[in-house]
Amino acid sequence: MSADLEDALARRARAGIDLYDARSLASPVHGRVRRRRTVRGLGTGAVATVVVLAGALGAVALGSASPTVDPATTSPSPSVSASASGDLLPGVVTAEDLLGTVGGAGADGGQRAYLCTPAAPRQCDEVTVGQEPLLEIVRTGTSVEVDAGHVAYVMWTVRNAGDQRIRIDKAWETPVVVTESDAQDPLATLAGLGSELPADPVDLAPGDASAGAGTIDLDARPAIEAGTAVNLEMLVPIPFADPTEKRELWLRVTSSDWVNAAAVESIRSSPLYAEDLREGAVTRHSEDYDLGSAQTALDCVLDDADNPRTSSGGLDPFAPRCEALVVDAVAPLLTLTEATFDVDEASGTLTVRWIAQNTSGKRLRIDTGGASVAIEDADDGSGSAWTSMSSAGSIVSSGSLWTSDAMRKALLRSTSVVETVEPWQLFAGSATLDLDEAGDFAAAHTSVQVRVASRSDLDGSRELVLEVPWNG
Amino acid sequence: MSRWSETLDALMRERGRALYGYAFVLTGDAADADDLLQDALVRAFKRGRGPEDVTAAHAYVKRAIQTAFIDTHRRASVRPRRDGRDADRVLQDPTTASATRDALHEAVLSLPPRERACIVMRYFDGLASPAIAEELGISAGTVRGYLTSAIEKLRRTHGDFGLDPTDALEGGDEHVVITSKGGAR
Repeated sequence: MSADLEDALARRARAGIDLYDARSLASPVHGRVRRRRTVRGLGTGAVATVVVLAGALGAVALGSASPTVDPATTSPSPSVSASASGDLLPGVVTAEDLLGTVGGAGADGGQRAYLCTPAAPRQCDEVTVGQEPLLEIVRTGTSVEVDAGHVAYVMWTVRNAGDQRIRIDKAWETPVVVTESDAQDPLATLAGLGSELPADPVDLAPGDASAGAGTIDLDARPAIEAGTAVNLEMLVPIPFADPTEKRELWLRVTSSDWVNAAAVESIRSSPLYAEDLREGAVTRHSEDYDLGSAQTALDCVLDDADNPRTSSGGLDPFAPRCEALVVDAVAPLLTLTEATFDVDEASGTLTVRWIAQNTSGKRLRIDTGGASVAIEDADDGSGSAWTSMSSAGSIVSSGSLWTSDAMRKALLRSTSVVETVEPWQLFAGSATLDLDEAGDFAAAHTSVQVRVASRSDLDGSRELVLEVPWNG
Repeated sequence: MSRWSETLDALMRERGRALYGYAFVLTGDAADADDLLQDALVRAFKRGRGPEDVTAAHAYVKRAIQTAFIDTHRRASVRPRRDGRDADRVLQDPTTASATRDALHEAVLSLPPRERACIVMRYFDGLASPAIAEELGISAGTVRGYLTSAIEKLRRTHGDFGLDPTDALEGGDEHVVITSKGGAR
């Protein structure tokens, strides 16, 4: 009876087999496995590195080998290196090799670099070395945490993006923080570095990564608040093979990825659950549909068997009547940053795509995979509305979702993916619904309903659903 | 060359095509299949000595493909987009066997990841729901729920292709079989 389906899948597999290219797969897989094995094998015996940047004109201290500078802040952090060797090896790229390929500033390809005199303050020329980027920043190994906006704890991972081993000096890997409103000048940062470079040469094989961490004192710079988009650049010195060489070559490693600075305390705190949000919640009334900055929610008490998320047989969505609440009267915990409405006339569907952000400043334990789109005519008080819902995550009412002065409908689904969403983290979703049912959606109120997980989430007798309105 | 590296090379040489085909069935896209197979291979070989031999590696990587597929969609910023259409609004009237198979596979690709994985494991791997449950580390009841929901959706959104819900829940093999001669599974 299901032969057609079996045939369809088998035929698709054969089509895929024809596309298989072992050679294109082998190299990246070997590289990724090597890196994972390398990183797993490190961490013990790690070197403590302290980097304190005191702004563009400030002095910088690294560890104890730079006695000329006061370490304003000490925050030893583990530094992970791929391999360390005191001897230069044949086939390892050094500064001399790179200077043999040097081009002027802005040359095509290659990697930006600074060739500097060792005297303090350094005098540097911007150059381009190599034909392709030599090092790259690994986005997943990069984070910035801020403490009261004035001290940034930075973690980074730099990977050899080339096809040859390259020697770097880990002791002087230096982060440079860029925000949309303020950028450290790499040249000024280099000029402010101490004059005596402690050496910690490390050879990175192709694909190998070097991780490190440091503290940046922002006292002389504008504070970086939690949630600020931050771009991290790295200045990585490449040692010369000739020990008598006094010049310095620094690679400037940039990334197109931005990360959101997180508050230190928020990272270390446990996430908020439904139980936390119910504390201090107050009843919300139907005339308070648009509460502006407040965070509203629906508290649903139901028979466990009616909850499609926890009921073994309940796969259909369910829209119980729930008590309307305000869980935070000061600021929304979640905010929709984007919503698009795509009409497909041919299929008669409306697809709503949305992006939400955790604007609470705290970690939230929420069901990002079970969120729903709600469309209603909130001004309709006729009481004769119909409501349509789908397991695809939509609830549409021809009138209002209010069922009484203090009760509203929420959509509960069987689909559930609970995650801890970090402060300022974005998450997204979409729902496709019948165009006819959506009606005049442009004039209607649209919101996204997001369930908050409970500490005992297997219990489906009570659910708390945040309402996130779209005000676009 | 290290042992894991040799096993990895042998696996990609002998079974890579079949594993890639499997990933392609799940994702429906060459680039996504590439990423999925890479992730699965890394999971299999990233620690210890890695799988003992090619057959063990094949089984491990195939399971990793299934779980990585679900995990990847769980992490994806854009959540699964289910198809809320009804059959009578879908202009799908296949008149040839080829068109039917294409339509069916497109329909499978519209399913949420867990349901899609269960359908592929049931009708491509030929596994019964208890075996699927064991592979995915979830209960057999949950697998039956996914299969029921998937079949219902396929019938509702893409018409009746002769899919039998009873066969979906009751049929299939109880044990996982890994072919050793470059079979497609």
